[in-house]
Amino acid sequence: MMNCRRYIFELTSGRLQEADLGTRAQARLHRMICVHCRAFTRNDAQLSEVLDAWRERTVRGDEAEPTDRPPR
Amino acid sequence: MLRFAMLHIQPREEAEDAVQDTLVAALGLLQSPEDPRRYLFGILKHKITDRLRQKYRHGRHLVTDDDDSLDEALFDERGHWQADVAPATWHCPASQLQTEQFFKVVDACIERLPAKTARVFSMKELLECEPAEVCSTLGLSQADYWQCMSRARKQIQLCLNERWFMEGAR
Repeated sequence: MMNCRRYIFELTSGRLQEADLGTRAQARLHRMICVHCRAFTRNDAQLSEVLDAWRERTVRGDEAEPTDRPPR
Repeated sequence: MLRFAMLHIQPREEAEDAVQDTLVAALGLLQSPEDPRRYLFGILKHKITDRLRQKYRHGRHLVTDDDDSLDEALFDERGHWQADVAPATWHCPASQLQTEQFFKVVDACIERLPAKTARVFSMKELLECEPAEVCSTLGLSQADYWQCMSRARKQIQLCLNERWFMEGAR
């Protein structure tokens, strides 16, 4: 049975989108029984929208001037 | 454009070269594109990816991030959520998620990502590269890519939770 750690990895890595039917069924079942993973999944979907807006804003150049901050 | 390039390339001089290459390429156009800004960023993304590919082709490797420490903080030994970090659904009006203040918090959360994770994440989310291109450019395995993307999304969600959504609930 899929636990929270495995479910969250499948979701956040992007593997779940390409997973086979069996894995997706396990993930759906896990989501049904786990309130925290359901919350994380909703937040992750909202995070995708936030990142889309962040990318648009970066490409539009709405933010501050460049600095000499070193890369991460 | 320079700020965008500097998110991916350092030092600044190299980022400036990528922007210059982009402008030179754009000067060669016979017709002006419908959306010049988007078109220029399209060229710039290719210039940045080319430079990253050259950089990592010559035996340079990204330092591995400590992937397990985050999961140990999030999950117990049975793989269930630790009680003090178990997530709750975000509740926030959509209008608040478009403010300058919110995007500053997003920037800060992304800046806190470890180096390797940040490089993979920015190629995927900002340069909009396909996973196979990220792996071939940075010399990563698919498993490395999945680890980095997973870590990035977990860490950013936790960070936004702590620095924005929980702050709003207090």
